[in-house]
Amino acid sequence: MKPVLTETVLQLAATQYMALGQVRCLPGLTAATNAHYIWVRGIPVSDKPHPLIQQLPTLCTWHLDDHNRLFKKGSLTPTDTLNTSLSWKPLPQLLEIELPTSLLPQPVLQQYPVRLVPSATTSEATALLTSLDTWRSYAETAPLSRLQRLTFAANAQGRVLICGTPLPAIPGQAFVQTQQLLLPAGFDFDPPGIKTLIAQQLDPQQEHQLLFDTTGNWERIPQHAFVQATRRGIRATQSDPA
Amino acid sequence: MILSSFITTLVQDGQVTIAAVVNPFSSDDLADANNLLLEYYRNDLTDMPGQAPGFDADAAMWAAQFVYRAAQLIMLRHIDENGVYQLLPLYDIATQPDAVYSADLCLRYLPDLLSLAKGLAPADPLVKRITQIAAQWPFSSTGMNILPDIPVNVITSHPSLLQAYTDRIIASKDAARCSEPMVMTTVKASLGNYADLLWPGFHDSFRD
Repeated sequence: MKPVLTETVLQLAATQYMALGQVRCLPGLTAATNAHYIWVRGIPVSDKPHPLIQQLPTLCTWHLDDHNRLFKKGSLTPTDTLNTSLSWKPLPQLLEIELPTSLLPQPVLQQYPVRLVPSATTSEATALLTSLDTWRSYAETAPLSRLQRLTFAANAQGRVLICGTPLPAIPGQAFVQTQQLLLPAGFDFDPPGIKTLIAQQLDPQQEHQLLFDTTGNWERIPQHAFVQATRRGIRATQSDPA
Repeated sequence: MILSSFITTLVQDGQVTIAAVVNPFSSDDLADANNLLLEYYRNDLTDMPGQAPGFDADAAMWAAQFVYRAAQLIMLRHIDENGVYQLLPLYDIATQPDAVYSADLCLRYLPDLLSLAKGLAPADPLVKRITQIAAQWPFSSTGMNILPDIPVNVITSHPSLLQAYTDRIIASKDAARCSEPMVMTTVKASLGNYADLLWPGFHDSFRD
């Protein structure tokens, strides 16, 4: 009587575990391992096996009948029995994916000096550093429409930083704002692309304006120190007499 | 103390409280109101450009009473034309900057008064009187679309008033007020090269 073959079973050496990776996503395949071999089943006998299955480094290709007997390909006599007591698992479960280990980059030991250098591009000045006396003198008779577009912060030493556009045409040092960085007009970082990194490094919470001078020195000015420019407010601003 | 309370709430909150009946103001109320207006003047001049004009108590008191009665008459519609004109007397045309600025402490609310009265007919005596006062006190009526019927030289001759007047014209984009050459010069000086930014359409308003 001719045996009723139900599926094809592959026998691979245990060392070929990694080779199963290429058929991991094919449907219906299950596998089990013992000390020496890997067994793969779930391949229909009637169909031509998937090309990826055909490429596996199999030691032996078996056909299984409904009594779990194993027949060598083309043989009518079983020569082994499938061990069903093994732990059969779907391939995706058996072959768990491991993410590659992220290797630490080579530490950078050489430091790159960041400098302010004359800039090749022009930008509109959006801040002005001047004295309180100059600012007060301007505001005394300044048009309200000009003041309304400005904010200012003053310190005890009588220095005033005015922000906004258009800036008043009064003596002082002009600055260009990028994010919270205020760079002297006509200057930029070398390399220019480092501005974002510097802003993140020096003021990650974005709670300050960072005022740079041409030598690269900088100071933090809290955002809350800036108030709307009004004649009343400017007149009321006093520098420390000491 | 209806007038002094009225001034306080008007200045501090921008709201008005009026009595439901028309009674004369008591002397104590008027004295308190006068003190309040002087305090209001001292506080307000810190926002004025340059050296603000002095305080004219009579002009300030007239303006405060005018605004109070006008607000009252918007609500009390049973008072006839004569009553309206008696309650809202005119004041001598201002010839001094002090009067212009002191009256403005309360007359600056004329545009709001006219807005409150917008439901009334244009021929209504109250609307006519508010409009008449707006034309006589141009410093306080920018943006109301009412042309002055007096010369504005009392304003243009005082640097602080002129700049403040110009600020108001720019804020309300009142192009009609720029017909006075001195005012136009000051408006242009204030806008500088930023007319398109500070007054969009400014140049278009004066193209032939």
